[in-house]
Amino acid sequence: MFNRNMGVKDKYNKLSPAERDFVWWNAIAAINFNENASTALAEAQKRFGASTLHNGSGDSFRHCFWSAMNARDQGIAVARKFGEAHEDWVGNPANEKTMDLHNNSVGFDIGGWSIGATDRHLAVLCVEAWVNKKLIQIDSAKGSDLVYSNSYEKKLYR
Amino acid sequence: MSEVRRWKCVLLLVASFGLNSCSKTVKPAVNAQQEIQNAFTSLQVGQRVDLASAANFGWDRVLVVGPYTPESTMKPFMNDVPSELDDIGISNRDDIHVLLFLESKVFVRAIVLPRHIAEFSKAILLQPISRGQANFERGAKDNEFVLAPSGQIEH
Repeated sequence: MFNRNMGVKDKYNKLSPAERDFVWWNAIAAINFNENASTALAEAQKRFGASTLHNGSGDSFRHCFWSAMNARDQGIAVARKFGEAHEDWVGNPANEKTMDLHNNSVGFDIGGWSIGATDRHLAVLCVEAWVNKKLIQIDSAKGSDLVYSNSYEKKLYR
Repeated sequence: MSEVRRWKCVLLLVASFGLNSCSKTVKPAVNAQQEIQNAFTSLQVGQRVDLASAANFGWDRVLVVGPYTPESTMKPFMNDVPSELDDIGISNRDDIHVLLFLESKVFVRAIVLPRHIAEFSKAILLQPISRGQANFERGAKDNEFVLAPSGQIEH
């Protein structure tokens, strides 16, 4: 969503109307979520392959981790409100939206029950969620089907 | 010619040269971003976009960059990753694709295409496509564009 090197106005202009509305009323939380978004992306890039960062394992982990940090920092209700606004843009494919909102929900639960936890701790919990098939992602080999996380990757190692 | 007049002429020449230099840096009035977006908008299944015509400026290769693409993965295709990509923030966004136009591996221009206008088949992401082959055809699936049969990815 955001980029650290961009100006504030540039960032604001790239937001969806729903996100702008959220930022207008929750500026402090939005700044916090912006930082968390960068942390989540960097962690996903470290842990998962580049090809999985959109609709794959890396994407599912990133949404979980970002939402977990947001819920830990600002509470589940505010984090969920922004998570829903973030997915509310024209043309967002239904399966991608379903995937992102589901993985956000897992992250909200993790972060909401982990007040004071470190980023690293939340990242580990989201990896556990991914390993235990709690997250969902899109199996590009089967078109656009949603599958549980860590489902088709195992096939690669058998 | 007196010394004063000669200096006046020299200053006039310098000034006009400066003005001309400035005018050369002004980009053409054509809004490439809008023209290319228009070319992809409201096409029926099977209809094509000839990118060479729609992107009417100098380029010889185009890269289609998908959502959440790290900038590091674009490095093999160009001499320098431009700051424009940082401004667009494609590594952090899933609502757009970026068409990256190159000439002799030098960045020329980045055009943002919102995904509600055009989706691109994953098979053509981050593959250099030559200007002559950059024909995109709207497929049957949603608003996904694939490389037209005449199109060819370079290896």
